[in-house]
Amino acid sequence: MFFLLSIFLSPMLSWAQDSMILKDGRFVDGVKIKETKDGYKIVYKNGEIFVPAKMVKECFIEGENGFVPRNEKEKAKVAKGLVPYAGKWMTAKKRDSLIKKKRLAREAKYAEIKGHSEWRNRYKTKSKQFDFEYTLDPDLFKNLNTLMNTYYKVFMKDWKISKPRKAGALKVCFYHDHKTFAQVGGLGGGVQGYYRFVEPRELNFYYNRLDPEYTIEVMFHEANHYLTHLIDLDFHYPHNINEAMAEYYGASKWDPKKKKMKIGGILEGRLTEVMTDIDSGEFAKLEDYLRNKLNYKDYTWGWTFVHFMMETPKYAKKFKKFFLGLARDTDVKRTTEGGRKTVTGDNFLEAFKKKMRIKNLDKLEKEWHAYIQQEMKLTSHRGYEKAARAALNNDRPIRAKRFYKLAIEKGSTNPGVYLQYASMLLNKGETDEALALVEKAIKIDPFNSEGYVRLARIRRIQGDDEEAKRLRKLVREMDPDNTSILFDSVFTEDMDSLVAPSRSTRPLSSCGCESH
Amino acid sequence: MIHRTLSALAIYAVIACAACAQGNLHRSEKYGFQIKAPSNWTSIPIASSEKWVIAKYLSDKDYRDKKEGYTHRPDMKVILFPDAITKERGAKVTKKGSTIIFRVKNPYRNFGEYMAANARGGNFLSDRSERKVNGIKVICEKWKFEKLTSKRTGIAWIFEGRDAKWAVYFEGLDDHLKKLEPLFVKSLKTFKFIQRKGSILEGRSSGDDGVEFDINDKKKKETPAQLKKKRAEKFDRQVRRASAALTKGWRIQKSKNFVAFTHVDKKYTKGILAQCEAVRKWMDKNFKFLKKGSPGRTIIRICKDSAEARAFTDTTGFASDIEIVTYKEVGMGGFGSGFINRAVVRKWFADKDRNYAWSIPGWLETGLLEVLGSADLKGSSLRLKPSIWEKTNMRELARDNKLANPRKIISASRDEFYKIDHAGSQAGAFVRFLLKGPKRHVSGFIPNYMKAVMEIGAEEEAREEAQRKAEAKEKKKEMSDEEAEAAEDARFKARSSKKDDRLANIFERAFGSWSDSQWKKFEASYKGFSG
Repeated sequence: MFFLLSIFLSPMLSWAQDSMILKDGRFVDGVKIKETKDGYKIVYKNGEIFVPAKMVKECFIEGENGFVPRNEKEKAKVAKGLVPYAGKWMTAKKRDSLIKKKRLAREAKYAEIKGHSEWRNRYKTKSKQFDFEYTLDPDLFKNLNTLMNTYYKVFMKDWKISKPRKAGALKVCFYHDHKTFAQVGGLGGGVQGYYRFVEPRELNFYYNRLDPEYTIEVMFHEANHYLTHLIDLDFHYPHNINEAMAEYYGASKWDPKKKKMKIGGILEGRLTEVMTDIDSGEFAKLEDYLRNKLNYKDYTWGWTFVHFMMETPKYAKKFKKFFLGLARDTDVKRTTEGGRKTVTGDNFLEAFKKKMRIKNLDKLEKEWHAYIQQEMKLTSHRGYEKAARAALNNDRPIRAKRFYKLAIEKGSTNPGVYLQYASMLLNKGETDEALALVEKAIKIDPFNSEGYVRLARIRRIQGDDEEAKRLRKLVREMDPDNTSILFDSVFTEDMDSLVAPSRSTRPLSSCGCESH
Repeated sequence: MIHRTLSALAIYAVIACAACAQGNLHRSEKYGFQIKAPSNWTSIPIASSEKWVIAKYLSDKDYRDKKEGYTHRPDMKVILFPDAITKERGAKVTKKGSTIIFRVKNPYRNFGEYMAANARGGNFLSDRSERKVNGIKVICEKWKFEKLTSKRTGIAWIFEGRDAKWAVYFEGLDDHLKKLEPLFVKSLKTFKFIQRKGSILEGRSSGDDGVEFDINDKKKKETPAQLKKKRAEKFDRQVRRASAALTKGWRIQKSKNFVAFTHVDKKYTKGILAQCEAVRKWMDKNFKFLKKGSPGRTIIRICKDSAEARAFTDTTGFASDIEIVTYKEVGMGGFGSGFINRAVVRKWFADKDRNYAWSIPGWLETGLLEVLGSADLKGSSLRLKPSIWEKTNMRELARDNKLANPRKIISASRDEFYKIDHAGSQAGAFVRFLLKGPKRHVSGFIPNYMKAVMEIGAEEEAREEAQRKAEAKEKKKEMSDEEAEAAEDARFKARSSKKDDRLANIFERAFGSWSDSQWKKFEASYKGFSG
């Protein structure tokens, strides 16, 4: 639904009240907005940027010009002191009163929607299994709510687990961005979500607008910690299996048509890390994994091992039994750490060998490594995006270029990917190709200031210094915190661009120039 | 306030102590305000690197979280937000000839941003209102701490002045808020602006937080003498700033290489300084084979207790590489003493030459920190003795036949090293053996090994440079896409395998001449020593 006013509006209202809510949950305000045929233009002092209508959830534009009569009939009406408004002629006083009413309603609506992005005004929704608290747009939340409840049912049925009575409904806190998650949730850095396993138990994660699929992976991962905890609330699965199993279930996909949850997908980002290790000749040792010695690699190599076990018919049943048995079986040696029962690395290894009836770990290790290389493949744009980034980080630009191309061919819509690829090409002097990529990135997300940083570089290379300078100023206006443009300005000696714009806040909130 | 026998440095501290507290009235003419802190609360000095907090007080009483047993001591902070700074966005650039000094900083625009970056534990703004206090417009905020922390409430009153905002912030446990909040509010109501006799912008930048670039890339590498001079000047600036921010009851006490800012008695401070000197002397003696560079002087901050140390370090600007912070505990040689020893060792390596700090292998660094971390002072020398944890772990490992072979310890990459059971204790025991074991087995072991580390590192650097040139040549060759990617893959594999080769090469360089029987004797000697 759009709230747009026609040109019949009086000039009394300021553009400072123009505002916009994007479908990905971001807000735009404090700038002049103009409506165009297919969308909107955001007017900055140093240029305009186009926002396609499909990106916009709601837009609130205040009027700009007074009415200019176009024929004699209209001139006569104006002479009588009447003005047109909403298809009718009325007195200016009445029109202003109607406008004021509508404006106040719009402002209240905008304030209400934006206000919910503050944790103190969060939304609260209850379902049978979960008490949700969230700052996310309710439209985006709806889907996640359905997914969480379905995921719960599928897992509980699949593993034949019943929830202990004392567990109650789980509180799930969902934030609209990483910044809010880090501040309110209390865990920043690289943490994407967490499950608090002591009372009061709760899940916390955030919506990643650049990669909504990743949001679901994190949600399923963290929810899996909760679900496996329900096997025995007094037992804590050791890191190796706890994280690897959560990763395995994190890749679950819900098919809304078939109404079926597909388990055991491929986490292509994780697979990329494993493939980079393999390329460098590094293979994780099975004994290290089983003895809980891999630490971070439990998320990568550990996940591939659990995938191998769960997806290989000859092992799957026994492995599930082994997993449940770690918490329940009387012949598994458990110790107490931090007041909770768990299994040490040595005891884990012993139980694994016994329950899986494995004598020769070397043989199983070879099977596992072969499984990774033969059965686990990258297929989607997300996988190639991550593989391209990994290749670039490992100084393999030719490989990176091939993967970037594949990611784009397969439908990547992440502006960060286009810009990384463009930067790579720019460094190699392939300006025309880079320009096309930058333009595409800007089209996907007109608010990503890094797009204009790259565009300014290209214009400079092309000899259009004036345009480059304008773009650098535009970046400073859009995103005063952008440091890349400052470096560019220094190295081109364009010190004018370094003068901070008069505004001290940027017009776009809940936004960053995140890229993966 | 300040010890009479101190040098000009201390006298400077008296002169520069702009904020005076009388009857807990904090009056700062420099920043133009006054506030009465709750009675019996202690004024805490501000770290030399701090740029936002201008006053800090700590309660005299600990409060206990009834549910989790966590202890919290309320504090009060005054945080200044000058308009001229909060409006500054992005980086600041200064140009001097071809040199550009870049200060990448994103100052906080308001108190909310300050909280987002600095508050510990999940927090959110729960309430905001406006009022007038002593004729000043005040924004009153309540912050709740609920996730991954004990439940607390922060009460912030933000006083709006003509060119800045002064946020006065109190924090207390929810369990005791009923009692604490009136105390906080009583104090907040005493805030007043007074005649300002300075600039609120003074001291906002220490001049040490910039990154320098030379746009023509012609900047000459600084000589060790230049580096030493630069470091000494920086140290003097830090001491001056720390002196200026001293509060009631704090003194300066110095030794040859350390300057202590202390809130404890002279004897205890003397002991800490002696300990720091002893660690440094030990490092100078035992690592004299590392020729490059020389360690600089260091600030030691000695707080009266752990709560004061926590309050001191709990500010935005505290930098652990500038000051080593400790506090008085019952008896010397405990946890705090180990912390100081390790900090002195780290600083020693970093000051000598960053290459040493970066190149030292994981097992040697961990082992050395274990050994010195548990060392205590006997007379003026260090006494190396294993910690109770090291003894227990080693006993258990020996019992379970899990003691790592020295060759495994030495050859392990960082990743592999941390897979060794009780890696820290095993590294500690091994390094202890290398330092104190029978001379016929261990003499020259560490110097030879470090020599090999540095030599191989330098050779690798030269080889990499040659390889980069060769690769650049190769890239110019006409190749199909497949051939080019295959060549790139081969280069990647070669680079990756080098990491493993490096350890093998160091081992070969240091111990290539050792025979099997020599190793066996060495290993038997180690087993006997650690057993």
